[in-house]
Amino acid sequence: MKTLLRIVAILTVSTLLGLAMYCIVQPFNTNVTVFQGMGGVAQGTTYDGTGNPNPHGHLQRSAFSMLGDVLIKFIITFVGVVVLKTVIARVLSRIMTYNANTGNRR
Amino acid sequence: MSTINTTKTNLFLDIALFLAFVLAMVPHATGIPVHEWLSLAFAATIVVHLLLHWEWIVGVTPKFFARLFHESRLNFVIDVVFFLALIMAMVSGFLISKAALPAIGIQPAFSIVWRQAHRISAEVALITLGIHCGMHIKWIAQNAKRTLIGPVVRLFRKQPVAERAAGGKK
Repeated sequence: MKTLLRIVAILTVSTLLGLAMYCIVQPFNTNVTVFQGMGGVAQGTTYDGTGNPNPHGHLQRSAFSMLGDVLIKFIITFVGVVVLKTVIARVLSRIMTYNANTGNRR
Repeated sequence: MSTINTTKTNLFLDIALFLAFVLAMVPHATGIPVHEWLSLAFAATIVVHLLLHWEWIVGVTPKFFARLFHESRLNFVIDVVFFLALIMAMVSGFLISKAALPAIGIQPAFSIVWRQAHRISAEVALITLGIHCGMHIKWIAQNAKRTLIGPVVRLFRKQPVAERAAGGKK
């Protein structure tokens, strides 16, 4: 029962946030008719439906190359955070153990 | 015993979530139907992840505005940004769906705005996932060592001992 209530709470919060985001972004969604008018919508020829056979060069790239892009972005962020966290922890530890009277570390 | 099982459950669930997220991030490689159905499964698993960390969420939320600097506050902000990015990715994903919604008879119109929103929110989610994992490096390293690397190392260590014992009996 407790778990069910928690699931309902998570889904309710997610739905409300989703609706709020929809209400914020939807007013900017004005150029749909322009694309529909161009006849490039859902033709199945390209991913973005613009009518350009290869708009971003995606179709020429291998799956591994695209997977690599995602993993590189993740690894850079992950390693960056780990390094930053370690540096901050060391600096904080030095500050906390610094004795202002003697100028030495405690 | 229960703690170990919860930790194990968390670890394996998180690994599955990570793999699903990475695969869902390359729709050109997996194909749109796999991308969409996998993302829906990912969203359902995120609910389980939140349920498993419910005590932390409930514990940290009221303390968020307390006047103290703590790592959990930073974690909370990162998690909220990650959650919002995932919700935006899901909402925009539904609105540009080409497989999941058409499968139940709904045909969303093509929208460049929602497609851009989908792309940007997915990028934000990827970056916040990197930060989220980086912030929990200690837990990840500790439990990966204990649950994944430890048993494999023990498996290779035990063999020579057993062989030595068998050799000694002869």
